[in-house]
Amino acid sequence: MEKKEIIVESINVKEALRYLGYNKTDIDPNMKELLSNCEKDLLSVARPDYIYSVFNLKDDYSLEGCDFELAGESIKKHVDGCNKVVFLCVTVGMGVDRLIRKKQIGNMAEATVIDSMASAFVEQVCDQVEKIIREEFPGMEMTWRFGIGYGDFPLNLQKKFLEVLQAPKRIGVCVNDSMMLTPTKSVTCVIGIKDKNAYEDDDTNNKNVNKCDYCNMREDCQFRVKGDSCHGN
Amino acid sequence: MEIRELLKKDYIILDGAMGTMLQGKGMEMGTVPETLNITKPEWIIDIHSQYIEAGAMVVYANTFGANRYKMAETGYSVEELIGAAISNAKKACEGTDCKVALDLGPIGQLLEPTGSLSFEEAYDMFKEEILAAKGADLIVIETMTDLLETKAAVLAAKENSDLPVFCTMTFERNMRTFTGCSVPSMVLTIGGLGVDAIGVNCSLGPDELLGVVEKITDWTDIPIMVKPNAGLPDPVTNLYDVSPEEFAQSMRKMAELGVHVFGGCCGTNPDYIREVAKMLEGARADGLFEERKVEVPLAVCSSTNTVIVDRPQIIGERINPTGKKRFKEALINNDMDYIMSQAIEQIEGGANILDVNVGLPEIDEREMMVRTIKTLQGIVDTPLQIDSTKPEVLEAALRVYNGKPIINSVNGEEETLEKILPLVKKYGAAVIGLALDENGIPDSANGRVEIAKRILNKALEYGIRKENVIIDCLTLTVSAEQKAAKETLKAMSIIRDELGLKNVLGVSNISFGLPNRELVNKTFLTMALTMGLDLPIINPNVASMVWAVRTYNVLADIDKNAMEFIEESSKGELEKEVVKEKKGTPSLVSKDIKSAEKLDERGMAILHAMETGMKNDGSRLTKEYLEDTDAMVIINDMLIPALDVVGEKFEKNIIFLPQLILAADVAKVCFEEIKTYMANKGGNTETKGKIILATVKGDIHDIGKNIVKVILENYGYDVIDLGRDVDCQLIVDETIKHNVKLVGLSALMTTTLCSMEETIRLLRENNVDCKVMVGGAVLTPDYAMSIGADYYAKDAKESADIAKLVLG
Repeated sequence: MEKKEIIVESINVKEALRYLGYNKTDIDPNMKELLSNCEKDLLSVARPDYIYSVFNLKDDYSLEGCDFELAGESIKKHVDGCNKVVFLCVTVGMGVDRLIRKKQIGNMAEATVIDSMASAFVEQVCDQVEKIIREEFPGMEMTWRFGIGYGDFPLNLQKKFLEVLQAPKRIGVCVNDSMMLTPTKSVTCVIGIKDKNAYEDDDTNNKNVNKCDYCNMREDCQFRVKGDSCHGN
Repeated sequence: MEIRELLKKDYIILDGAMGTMLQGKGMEMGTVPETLNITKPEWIIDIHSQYIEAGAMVVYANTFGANRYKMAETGYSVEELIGAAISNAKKACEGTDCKVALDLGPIGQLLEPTGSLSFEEAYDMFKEEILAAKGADLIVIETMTDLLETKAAVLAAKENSDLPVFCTMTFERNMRTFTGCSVPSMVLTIGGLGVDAIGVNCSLGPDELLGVVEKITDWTDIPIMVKPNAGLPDPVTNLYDVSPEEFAQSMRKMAELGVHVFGGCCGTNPDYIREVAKMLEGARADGLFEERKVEVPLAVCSSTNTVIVDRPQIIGERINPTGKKRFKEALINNDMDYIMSQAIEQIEGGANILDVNVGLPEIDEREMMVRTIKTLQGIVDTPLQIDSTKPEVLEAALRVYNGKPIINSVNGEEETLEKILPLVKKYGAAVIGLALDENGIPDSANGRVEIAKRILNKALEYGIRKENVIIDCLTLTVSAEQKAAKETLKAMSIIRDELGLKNVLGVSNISFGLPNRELVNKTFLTMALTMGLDLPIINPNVASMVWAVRTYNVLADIDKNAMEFIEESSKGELEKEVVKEKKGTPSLVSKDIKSAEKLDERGMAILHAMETGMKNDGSRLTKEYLEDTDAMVIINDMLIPALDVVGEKFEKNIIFLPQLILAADVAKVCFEEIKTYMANKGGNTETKGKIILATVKGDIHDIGKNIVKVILENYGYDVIDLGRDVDCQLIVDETIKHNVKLVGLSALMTTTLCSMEETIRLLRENNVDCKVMVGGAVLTPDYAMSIGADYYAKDAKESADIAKLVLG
């Protein structure tokens, strides 16, 4: 089986606008034109790619055939009851960083919009890859994507996580000394997989679970002030 | 036999994969393979031995990731791991002719500007590995995706050892690496550095790589090497899909293309190498092995864009302070944005190559050149021409340039030739030879051709390829010497027809002292093109000049079916229409915005330009007002109040961040007009005070800081932008040096907040008399106070309010 290609034909502009603070606001014609130009530019340089590996999860939260510790309480709670975990890394490619840098010379408005569109875009790619993984495990239930650095899952595991996936070599995603992913618009996360019946009395897997409960920014979140959330509904 | 000798005489068989073999032996995911050199030497020796037994003539020591960065947490030093790896490989080779290669893979961190690793740090890491590899027979650089990192590795290898250097990069199906590097760019740049073999490895199977290899053969006669994967991995099982026999069959096609060095990458094992060895016996018997000779055209490149000089290509001349007050000011003030805007404007105008000259007595030209090149190549993909008279400046630029540049220039003087040509050779650049020498510019065409010949011969002596020598027959001012133009043109045709070299020419000198200069320039340009001008150096912002070249391309049957001509023409039409349509948009000024009351009719017009994002209108209006109004009145009574209106609307959630910035971008253009006007008048614009902005150490996401910068500048503050990933002490030093009263710090990550805290601590410890404002996604007002900041700015607008409070 060959790796499936990711095709995203349009950006979730609504989501990008939400990141920028727009809230059911009317978009004037100038802004509309700006948005459509930005979307075109972004799609022309983006090269979405992904890599994932699936590991069997042992009772003590260690992984079969993989020397990587799922450290912290929150990730353990997240994958509780799962028999497999997926390590996933997704990127929209380095061209996006370059485009944003270029736009910042004399076109900061477009740079800002593209930056935010690219954030929405990488989530769209994650959604697609999640679908691909889902097809691999019919009849199984998947948890939501738990990011490295989320809750008390240490951010400094980023380097090792990428090495396990061979992400630098296979899809060109690296991390710098401050644990920032490069290309900037990239995501790393862990997804738990469990049998459907294990699902019923477990709230971590519940679609209605409030992700904000796990978030370190909970108390000061600009979205929450407005009764919204960064991850949408 | 020595490797270099062997390369000339026969095929070389390399080994296959190490990583997938180690996994087969039971290595867990997450184990650092290089540590096995010490903990499981018997595994490593066994794998090498299996490959040697299968026919490998070279084994790669298990050092792929053995650099300081990747080995940091292993508890072993680079020296220990590489020493053990080489010794394991040597043991396996005992009693055979097999050679040992030091294997250098990517460092594992991205280079600037997308990452934070500098070229110099990358060079040092590779150097450390090379110095540790005592006893290796050759150096292999492989699986590279970043051309600049590859260049750092090759330079480190060539400058710190005499061993042969083999280099392969990794390409995707779209014939580019992850960083966008193309095949010709790799070959021109890395081949130019003088490697012994060049090629591809990893990522795809041999069939998928055929296209890449075919392209390589077009661009170089350096021996070509391939080390493909055993096909493609299944994303679920991670198993590869090509059998050893199929692999060898596909590799036979590589031999037919002229490849001389063969091996295997991920998923291959000794069986694959054995089949390849068998296949090569057949290839030898069929007489496939022969030395390749290829004619390569003159071409220059960035890592993503190759410009072939098989038709006139425009060199933009505007990145040059000569006679430009505004540009000089930008150089003195380290105003990179201005220089970058000049680059983008020229590319949009039609430049194919950009000349870069930042020579100014008041500044450190070497440092400024390196900075300009690094910044430029992070933003534009147009190849560069490095323009300086100083060899040390040229060499510094040649080192960090991510591609193959043109050096501007040498002339017939022995001294400059001896200083500069070795640099041209070492870094594989092209070079412009000016047809003049210590006796000046010869009057006659023949005199100039003689000098050109001298330059060419000297270049050939140094081993520079002929196509990389470009001649400038020099334009003299026709108002002073009317006959000179004809001589220049005549010399160019001789250079083209008899010497077979390309011509470059700065055109605009021709018209000094004459009226109607544009027409004179354009006519001379057209004449020069017909006489063999390949690389006109012009101002691409003058449309008539660019169109003269495009028109010539149609008339000279270069632009087939006038495709490009028609396409560019329709672009122009389109722009006109857009402008028309935008002008029709009604003003969006809402009546209940209080600050709008201060604006008169002119102020309202500026505001309208800001709200609609019309930079052209902003610039036109500002120029118009400058004719009869004092610059400070325009700033204080029109620009600032208009920005206040926009700011108020932003606070009231009538408009949002992109529109706020759009307005600021227009304001920036207006301020730029005022700055240029003042610079030409010899005065300076009054500023409201200096502010330092920096994204703190470790943090490379700087868009937030840049937004704040645009807003603050447009409120009339003088922003000293220290950039991103800024050292804590540097912020303190600069604050003291410039006597700055307000410092703005930005951080995106929780991991970099500590740098913010450290910077504030240092500022306080040194008793620097300044206020500190902080901002960034993960910051909170409470946290800001807890680390000793004076202000927390929740957004760009608020930072302007704070500035007003602190500086007035």
